[in-house]
Amino acid sequence: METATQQGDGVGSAGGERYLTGTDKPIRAQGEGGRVTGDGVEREVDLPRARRADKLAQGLGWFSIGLGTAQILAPRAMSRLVGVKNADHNTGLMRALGVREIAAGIGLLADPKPTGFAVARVAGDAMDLALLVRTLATPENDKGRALFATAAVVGVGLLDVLASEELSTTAPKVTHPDRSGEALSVKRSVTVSRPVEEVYAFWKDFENLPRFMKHLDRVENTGESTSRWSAGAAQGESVQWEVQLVESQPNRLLSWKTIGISDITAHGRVEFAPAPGGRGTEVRASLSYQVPGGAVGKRIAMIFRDVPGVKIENELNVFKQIMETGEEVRSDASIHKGPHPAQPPSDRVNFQDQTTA
Amino acid sequence: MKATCWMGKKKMEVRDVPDPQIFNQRDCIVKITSTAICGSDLHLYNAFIPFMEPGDIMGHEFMGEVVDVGRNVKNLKVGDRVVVPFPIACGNCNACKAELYSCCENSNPNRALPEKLMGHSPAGIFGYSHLTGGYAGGQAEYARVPFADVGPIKIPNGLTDDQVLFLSDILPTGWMGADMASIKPGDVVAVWGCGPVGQFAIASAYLMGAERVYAIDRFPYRLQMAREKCGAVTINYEEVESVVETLTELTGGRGPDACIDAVGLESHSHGIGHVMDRTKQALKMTTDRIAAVREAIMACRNGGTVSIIGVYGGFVDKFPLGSVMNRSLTIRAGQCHVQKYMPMLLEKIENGEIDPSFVITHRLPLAEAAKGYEIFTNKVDNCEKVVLKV
Repeated sequence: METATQQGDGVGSAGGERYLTGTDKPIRAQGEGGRVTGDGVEREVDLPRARRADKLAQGLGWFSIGLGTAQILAPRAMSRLVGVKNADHNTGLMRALGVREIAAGIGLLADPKPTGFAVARVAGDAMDLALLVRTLATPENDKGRALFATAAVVGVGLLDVLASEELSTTAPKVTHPDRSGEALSVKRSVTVSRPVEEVYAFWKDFENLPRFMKHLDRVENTGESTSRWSAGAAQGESVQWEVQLVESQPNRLLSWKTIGISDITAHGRVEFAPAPGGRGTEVRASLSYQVPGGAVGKRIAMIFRDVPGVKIENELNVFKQIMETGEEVRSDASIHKGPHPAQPPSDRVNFQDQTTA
Repeated sequence: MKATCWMGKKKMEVRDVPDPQIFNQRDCIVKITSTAICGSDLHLYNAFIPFMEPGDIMGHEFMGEVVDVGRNVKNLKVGDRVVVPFPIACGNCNACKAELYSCCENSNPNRALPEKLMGHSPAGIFGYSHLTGGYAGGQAEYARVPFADVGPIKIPNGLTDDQVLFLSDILPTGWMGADMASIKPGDVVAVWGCGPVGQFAIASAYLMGAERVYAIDRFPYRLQMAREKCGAVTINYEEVESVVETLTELTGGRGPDACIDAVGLESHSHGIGHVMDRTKQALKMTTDRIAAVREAIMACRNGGTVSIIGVYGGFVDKFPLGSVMNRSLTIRAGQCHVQKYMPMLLEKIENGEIDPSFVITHRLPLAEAAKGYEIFTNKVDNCEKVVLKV
């Protein structure tokens, strides 16, 4: 669900190409310019400029690695090159600077968004300048060489500043991938230590589903093979859809889909099979929800992914708990929304009595 | 109520927290009379087990009086005196039906977390991080006990708290360590770690017919307890060149028939190996130190059994798999299936075969729980086991 997908007519499609991205790499790799989404905000990105920034960062990366290697392998020669007379005393420092250079170099080359490493290089330049000022202040050192080295550091430093500026202004920040307009689909299986007839019968009555499908508020049977499902009350939304039972093979299979004009499109399919060795029933469920695009879709999508990637997946475990133990199992921490210490709640918790066992 | 809360690494506080409530119809509420600090609590105290939240109530060894029961609890009534097993188990799933209670498939509501870390989820455990469910623990005045119709065992009058409290964890854990080692009369057994679980493993091995049990530790007072209370032959690993060679020598070149690890993930050894393990653990390159398991494997005789009851959390380094494979070793391990062993062990306590209270060295009021942790973790004043009285 995290992967990049292209939408035909998604949110506020302004024509032209749109890319939903996980990183900014694909944007730079393709197209001649255009709009970038990723944080939910569309922005123009000047692609030629972004590519120039990348090139500069790469050049600086290789320069860093070359310089660092020389500093580590030949610290005395490098010390003498920048005018230090007593080169033997400074090998440790020179090697440490080499390690710093190589780290920054690798960062610039490996990170798809190396802005931080470019900034680190600017800081490194400042450090080098400070050391060179000290070199100049020590009388026995070679002033000519030290001045030449200072000029070189200033020159490279300007390139570093330019690179970090360009990288930060052309990098699209991808913090909250745009999820609206997506299909949410989940496939899970679980073994329930109850006879297949019992497990199938419980599921076949769709009015039972909200007991373990926590994203549902209510399911109401409206006919022989139709029902009305609703969700979203907890989020202040009211979403309803009509469901038609498509297939029902007793003790083997149930499948359903939405019909009519619905806020969402849903499909579901559950297979039941006796588990080997008399261990009950193997249940394989796949559910998918297609929510509409736009602001409305975004709010609806939240209903199904309050805790991203976990909620729907966990529902089959709750199904197992109800079938085997009679009710949903709760712990002190799990009755709260989000992370919470393992402590009893401060208010009296009033669970709806869902127990039938 | 008052409860011992984990507030961060090496930071325990007894705080005022809300009273527990019945959430499920098979719950009961226990008013706690005695509770203990477990060696495995020290792994949480020292922050080696991930997924703790500041404020989490600690404790999984506790007993007390039933003060409230859910509608579907038929076997207990208010006023019953019970010991509560540390794994929470439903009694209905396939694992529980096979008496693998610490692998209960229904009692961990946070099963998605351990599934990522371990493949599948173990049972929920009281006061033992959100990895095992985020249940409030029993180092408190009251605790909510789920599946009260399966876990808690009623204690007949006449037995003291000190005699029966350890049915909750360490006595059955030590017993299971010996049980998994399939000890037969005449066997020679070695036990790593002379903490309370190690002591009970030694005693259990003898009850199962072991002819001789070697006990390995570095604290003289613990070794003395193993000798005097359990009849072990002791080895101080800081005083010998190599534990493996010493055991080989002592067993006429064979090695022990069964080796039991009662140490766990903060295993300590001497020399460069320990420095490396400790460094890797600090750098999060490995979660667990396994010096004891390595020795147990290398020492065990060909075709013997290595039984692991020390607690481990994640991934290990330099595991001698070649030794296990080429020498036909059997490795057995597990959090204790306490519910399986409790009735039998209660009977042994009742008829005087075992009195587990000998491990208690410190009794403190609940209010001084933080001090108890400090004493236990630093082995102050020859500390073996701390019991908190409520």
